[in-house]
Amino acid sequence: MSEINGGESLFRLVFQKLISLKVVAFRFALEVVKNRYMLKCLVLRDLKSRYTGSFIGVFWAVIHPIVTVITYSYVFSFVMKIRLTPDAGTNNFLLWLLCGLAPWIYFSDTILRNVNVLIDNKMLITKSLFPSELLPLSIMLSNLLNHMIMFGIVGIVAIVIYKKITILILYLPVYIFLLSLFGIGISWLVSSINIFFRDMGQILVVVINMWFFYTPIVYQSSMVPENLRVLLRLNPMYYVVEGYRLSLLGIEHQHWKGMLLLLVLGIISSIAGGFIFKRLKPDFAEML
Amino acid sequence: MEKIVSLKGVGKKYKIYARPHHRLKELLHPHGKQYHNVFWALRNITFDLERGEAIGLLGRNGSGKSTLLQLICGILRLTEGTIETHGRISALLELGAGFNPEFTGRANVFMNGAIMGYTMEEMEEKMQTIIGYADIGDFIDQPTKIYSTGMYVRLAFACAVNVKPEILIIDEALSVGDIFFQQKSFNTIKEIIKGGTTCIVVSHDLEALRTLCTRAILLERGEMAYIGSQVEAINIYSHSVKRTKTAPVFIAPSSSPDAPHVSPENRALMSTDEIMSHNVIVKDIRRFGSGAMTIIGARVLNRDGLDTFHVTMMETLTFYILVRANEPVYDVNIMVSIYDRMGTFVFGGGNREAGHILPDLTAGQCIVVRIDIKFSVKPEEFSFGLVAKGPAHKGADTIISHDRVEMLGPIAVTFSHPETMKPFHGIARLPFEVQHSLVSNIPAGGNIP
Repeated sequence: MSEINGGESLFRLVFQKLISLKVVAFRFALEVVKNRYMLKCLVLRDLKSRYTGSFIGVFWAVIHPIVTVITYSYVFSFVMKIRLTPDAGTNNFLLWLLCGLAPWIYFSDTILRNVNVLIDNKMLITKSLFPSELLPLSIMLSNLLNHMIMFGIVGIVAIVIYKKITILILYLPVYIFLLSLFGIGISWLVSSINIFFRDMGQILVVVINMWFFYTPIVYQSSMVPENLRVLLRLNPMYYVVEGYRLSLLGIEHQHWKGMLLLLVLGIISSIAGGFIFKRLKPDFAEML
Repeated sequence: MEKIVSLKGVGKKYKIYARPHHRLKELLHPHGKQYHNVFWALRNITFDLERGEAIGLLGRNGSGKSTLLQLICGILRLTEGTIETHGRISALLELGAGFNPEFTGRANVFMNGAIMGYTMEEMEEKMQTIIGYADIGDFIDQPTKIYSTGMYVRLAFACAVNVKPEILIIDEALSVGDIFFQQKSFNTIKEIIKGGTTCIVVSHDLEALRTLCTRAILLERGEMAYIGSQVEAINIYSHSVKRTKTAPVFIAPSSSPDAPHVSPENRALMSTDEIMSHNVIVKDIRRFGSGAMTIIGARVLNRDGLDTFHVTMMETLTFYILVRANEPVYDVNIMVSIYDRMGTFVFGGGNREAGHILPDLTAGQCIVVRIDIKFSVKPEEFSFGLVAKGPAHKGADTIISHDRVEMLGPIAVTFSHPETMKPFHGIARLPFEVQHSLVSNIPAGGNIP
């Protein structure tokens, strides 16, 4: 359970930074700490429900991204013969793609699974005073664990084989955290709105699909025409993907601005998402 | 007295939309056009509850009982009025549905405690009591989705009552489980109320309300039609319901046309083997008493000589009780006790009460006692117990239990002929007689002296 506790203390730490910004956030952190057992149960249940009954269990967390990466590699690298430019930091397309795809899978999976999380737990919300804000958080933490496992197995093996790790790897936890902060905000937003507006789920599928190609995951940002790059800079996931590649592949470039922007966006999204969730929460039971 | 729950002018409004997208249209309409119809599920609910008070909520389906409970719990948002509550609320809304089916029973108990504001350590302490009370064995570490309804309810109930709540809310959770669990839960609720917990009970079981509550509220279409003594509320309610519903009949389970297990001529005396081959006492039953005697076995037959716990109202069951004396005993009384589903001791009678004196027994001697009981009681389920008692030693005044077993049965008393008149109303038929005579007429409107 060390990862969960790690996630928790991470949450506590960062939320403590936010006291100056909002007391509510601090109270939420306290509630998370108070309900840590519940959170642990929720995360464990989610992991279990995904992997119990399957033969190779947790390895599916790895197989899914690997197969996706191989498929894309086949299409882009072999069929379309796209070659990475030197600023990619590696000429191994597979590894390069994986570094971009991993955070994307974490992010999109969290959001898509969180859309219906409140509806799926209808009984808890309508029949008891359940702290429903923990539900999206638990899904995200469970996905985070998945994400970590994937890095644990694939990332390390791949990097050890293909390239030596640079000191830049220390940025990885920072980017993971920033992505999580951004993700939880969006999750709270979509999960609460979906109760009142059930089309949210369908809309999100479309949006996430478009967002995937809007983010330079299967292509390099340098391949984008100069005049369109300004659009790219509006995409928070662009900075996340670049940040992951920076820390894992050791491609040094100017990333402070992106990181700062992500931090600001993460704070805004988590506060706004949390605020909307809180405002809509008293009506959940009625709408469900 | 301290006010634990206080409601003032509470109302709950629902907006009813003809079509789902009207909600969105209304939200986005530039001039704030209204698309909904208003439905008041509750209006003008005002009452106070004091510490240790038990109140019943009565009303037909859709009268707003469950909504009111959800409002008090804080699950639904109020439209108007105020609700003040002091202390921890433990709620059994529709059978502990706050349980997560994927989690183990143990995890659910912990989470339930966490929702109520207990820490892990505090719950750890209560865990043993809860598990003991629920009595579901190793299932506590299985996900609750595989539980039977009975186990689910047991655990939910155990959880709700063993966390020492200041306010206990029970929605239709009284008439669940088997009769033994019902008796246990009734006793627990009574104890909890005695212990100072404020209790709000919703039940269609009017007798339960009569026993548990001291006050009741009758809800009609979301408004308080009556608040006051529970007896009065029940009277008003049952009066209004009777007009609409058909006569309540406890239909007997299809009576099997089996051949009698025992021929009539064989019934007066029963051998040890005959009793033991149809023993109704389970092997590991808990026993109470000094141990001077042991109730080895018992057999229950109906009028037709069938081994059954089903009996039609006003008919007789025959109890054969096989008892062994483990040491010399004197002046023994072998008794059958009958309890209803609320645990009320309905009847107890043995040879002493019937004026039948048993011989003194030496150690190792066995005796069979036959007791015939005519079930002139209401159609319901009853549990029964058997006890062998007597003076502590020869000539002593103190009567002690030599051996006692409880929680046997359940005996289902049925009333299967809706066309015939009920032989009585109420709990039991007391011996009664009716006479009449015609007297001189009194003209209508005339003075009655």
